[in-house]
Amino acid sequence: MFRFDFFNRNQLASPLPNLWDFLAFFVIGILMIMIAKGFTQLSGPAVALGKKSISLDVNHLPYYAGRSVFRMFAAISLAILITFLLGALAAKSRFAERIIIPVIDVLQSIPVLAFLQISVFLSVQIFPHKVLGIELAAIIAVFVAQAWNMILSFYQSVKSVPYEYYEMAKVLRLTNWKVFWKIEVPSARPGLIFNAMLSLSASWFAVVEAEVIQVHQNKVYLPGIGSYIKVAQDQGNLWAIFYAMMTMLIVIVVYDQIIFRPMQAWVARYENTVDDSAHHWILSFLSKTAWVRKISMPTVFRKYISYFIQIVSTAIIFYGSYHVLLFLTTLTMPELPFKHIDNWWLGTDKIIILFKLGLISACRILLVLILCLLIWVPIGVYIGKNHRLAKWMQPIIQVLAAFPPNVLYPMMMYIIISYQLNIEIWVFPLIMFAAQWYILFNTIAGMMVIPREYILVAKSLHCSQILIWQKVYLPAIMPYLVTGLMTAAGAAWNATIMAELFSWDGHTVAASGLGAYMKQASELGNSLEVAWSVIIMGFLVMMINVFVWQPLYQIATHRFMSKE
Amino acid sequence: MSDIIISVQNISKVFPKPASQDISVLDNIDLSLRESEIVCLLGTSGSGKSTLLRIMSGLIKPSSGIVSWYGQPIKGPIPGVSMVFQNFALLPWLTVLENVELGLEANNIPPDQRRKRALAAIDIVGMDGFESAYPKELSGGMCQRVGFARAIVVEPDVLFMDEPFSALDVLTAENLRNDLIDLWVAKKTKLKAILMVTHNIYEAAYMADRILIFGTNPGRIMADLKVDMPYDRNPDQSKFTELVDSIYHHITQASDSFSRIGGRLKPVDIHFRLPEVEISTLIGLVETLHSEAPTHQTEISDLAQELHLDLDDLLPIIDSLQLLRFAQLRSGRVELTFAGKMFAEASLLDQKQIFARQLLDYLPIVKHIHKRLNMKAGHSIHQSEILMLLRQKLSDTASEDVLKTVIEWSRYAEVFAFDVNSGHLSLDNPGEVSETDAGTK
Repeated sequence: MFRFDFFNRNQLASPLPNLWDFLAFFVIGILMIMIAKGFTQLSGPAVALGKKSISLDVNHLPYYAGRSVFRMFAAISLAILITFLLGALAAKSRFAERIIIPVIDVLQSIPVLAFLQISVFLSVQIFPHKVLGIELAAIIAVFVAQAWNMILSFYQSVKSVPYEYYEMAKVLRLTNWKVFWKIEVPSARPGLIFNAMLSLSASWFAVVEAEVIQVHQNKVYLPGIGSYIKVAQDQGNLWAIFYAMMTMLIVIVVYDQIIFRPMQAWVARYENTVDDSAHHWILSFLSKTAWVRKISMPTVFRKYISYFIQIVSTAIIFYGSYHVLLFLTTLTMPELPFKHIDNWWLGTDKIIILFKLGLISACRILLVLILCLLIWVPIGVYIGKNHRLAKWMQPIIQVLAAFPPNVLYPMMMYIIISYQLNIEIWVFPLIMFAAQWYILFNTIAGMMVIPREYILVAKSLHCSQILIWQKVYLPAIMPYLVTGLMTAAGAAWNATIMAELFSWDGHTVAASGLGAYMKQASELGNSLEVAWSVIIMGFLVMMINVFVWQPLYQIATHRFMSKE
Repeated sequence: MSDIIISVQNISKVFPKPASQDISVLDNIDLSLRESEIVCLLGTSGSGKSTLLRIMSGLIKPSSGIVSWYGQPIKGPIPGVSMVFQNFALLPWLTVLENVELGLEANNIPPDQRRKRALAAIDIVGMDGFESAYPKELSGGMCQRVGFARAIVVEPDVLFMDEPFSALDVLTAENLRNDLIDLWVAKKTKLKAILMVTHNIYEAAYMADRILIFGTNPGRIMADLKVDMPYDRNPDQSKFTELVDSIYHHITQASDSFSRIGGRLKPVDIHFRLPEVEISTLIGLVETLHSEAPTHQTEISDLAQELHLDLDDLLPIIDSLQLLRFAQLRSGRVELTFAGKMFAEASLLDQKQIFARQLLDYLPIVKHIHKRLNMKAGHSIHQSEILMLLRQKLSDTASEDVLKTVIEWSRYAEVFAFDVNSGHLSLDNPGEVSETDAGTK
């Protein structure tokens, strides 16, 4: 269990800052410098960001990683803002609910990378020849990978706030503003943090993928890990790929440790489920730094620290807005998006071909999921049976799941191309790598919550291992497994766009599939074909959701959950 | 006596239901709350007493009638009223101190003042030392103390309590009741009156200056009892026992007059709102009554005390027994009928048969389902058909509850079977497993 601060009514006296404070401020300082540097580049012309602007020198990697992380933060900030706006609106207004929720359902089924193509077209045409436009396109693509489940989670939490709380708020005559911040946001917080974590892990691949953007005939390389990998891939530099992978791993681990675990532990303080991660080391680090804690704990707020923070953040905001203003003054008239499309219809033959390709990709994904089940469910059950092993493995698998598959792809592609392996077959492991962790993770999670008695009963009845599998393990993990399959399928669709077509050191190979077609069309700058393949992929994914996943999920939760 | 603080006149509350009959919850209620009195609204659950409490505090609007606060008709929540909730309604993400301070935040009180008053309120309810605790660290009784602190910190004239002790265990509730009476008697707060909703007869007798007994369907006040006893009241006093007996008498009379025409039990219709009673409790009570006094009647107050059951738990069971004609209730006494005695003495299998016969004879809804199943080819219907029928006169949740009870009772009596996966009711013998089923099981 964790320790609570002992409340002392005279505790408002000021302690001196300690060593930990300086360390914490050092980290915050570096972040600020990074943000400032990012802003100065935004107003520059896009031409400056050609292929040559990316250096494969290892020493530059930390800076690139910082830029990628910054992009991620910008996207998640945007996602949280939009979540508060749309989620609250949908929960409060019947009319808005009827529009927002179905729209999100549709948007959710469109693979993120398909969105990337659209967001690139739109923002580049609105902000031509400016880094800001391209940066914005990348951030929006990452945002799209994060936002939907967060909005839905917030909406559902607000909808299920106990009626008594509202009655209490009425009796105490709290304003709507207070109700939102004191009741609705806190009650949504656990779900929102959980979903934000999911979103962030799932969106790393989008960050990597979105950094290299096709603008008309040119490729623009935004400084970041993704561009670094792409350049290394084009030059066939294996060592650079390896460095990038290591950097990515470090970023993900650090990120997970300094942001999410503490947040989880913090939520666990008042949530009813006691989580062991509550006494996580970062929390203890934070509680050692006297000043930082004063800032984050509203009961013991320290005035001058808050003034300092306010002054610094205001300065940053002014600095940033100054550069944005500078940029706006140089803004030219936006060209209309898709202006070179004079015919929106692609032609029936082409569309039928796209459908066929889509079905090929769908079958490929189905096979991948079956393979994943065969391999990872037994392993997951084995890990989940042993609670200590599972506790130990969980963070590792979490990091692996967050590790963007497209960082690993160049390695695998190198092998495929240099040994001239059959791409139609070897694309399977590539897609599997994107999908498998969700299945493993959910299997373990399902195993962890099986009541001990079930297994004891089976053992006391002398059931064989096979019978226990059949009667206890598999039914018990079913709802979790279906959730895992749904997430895995989503990841697999994205993976088809990344993996069905790739190039290494000038050689290009492609497997047949809608993903390959979409990527090729976007590299050739053919927006009409991109749009149509996005529409068809979205349509297929939605159909599969409605006719496969949703019924399966209903059955799994109704039949295999003991109590709802 | 003294000044009237809140009064209500001709209050009715009807929940409209499109395309079928509206549901009337409160019917033509008059009452007033005066200075320095504790008033208890006593009645079984579903009698609309909580709804009345919310109407009186201005949280919801009545369908008709007037609520006045010191003679002025109210619009919206009354500033001088605070409320204590059954499930505490403490925000889990705020500490005890922050929860109590929340009460003052709407009043624009400066932070240091706020803190001072909150700490004082926490002291009054005896929670000092727990200021920085989160609700999940506290027991139920402690949580409710915080609930009290949050209610009194705004220094209200009137305190409304909605079953404040019913989520607590017996000893904790007792302890909290005593402390509340002590606060009230010592006048440690600025409270002028307390209005409490409860279904616990003992609690009402222990605390109230005035007890208003509520009848159901629709909710109305059946009796207004003045209690003239000083605090500390002692349950062993003869005056106290007399009071409890008279409350029981009034309550059973209330349910008597409802279920009878002349001397005979009224037959129920197909939309009757069945009480939610589990089959095992039904059987348990029949057997208890039988072993208690095979020939005599049993006082309902004795029964409640012996079984440690609340009015809220006991009355629905007795109502169900009456409904199936296993027992009858007359002026506070229960007595097994002939069928009830037969049932108690029968073997396990015979019990099922007797139960089935009573179900088909006295519950029109069971009879209806049985008839439909016999008529239908395949002897199977979907549950939605029955739900549709019930929804004509009952709310959606009530319909589902009734169907659930009907299914449970009928499954026990083997009148029909139910498959939860498909939602079908059928005449299949549930003991026989078909070939396809055997594969999956």
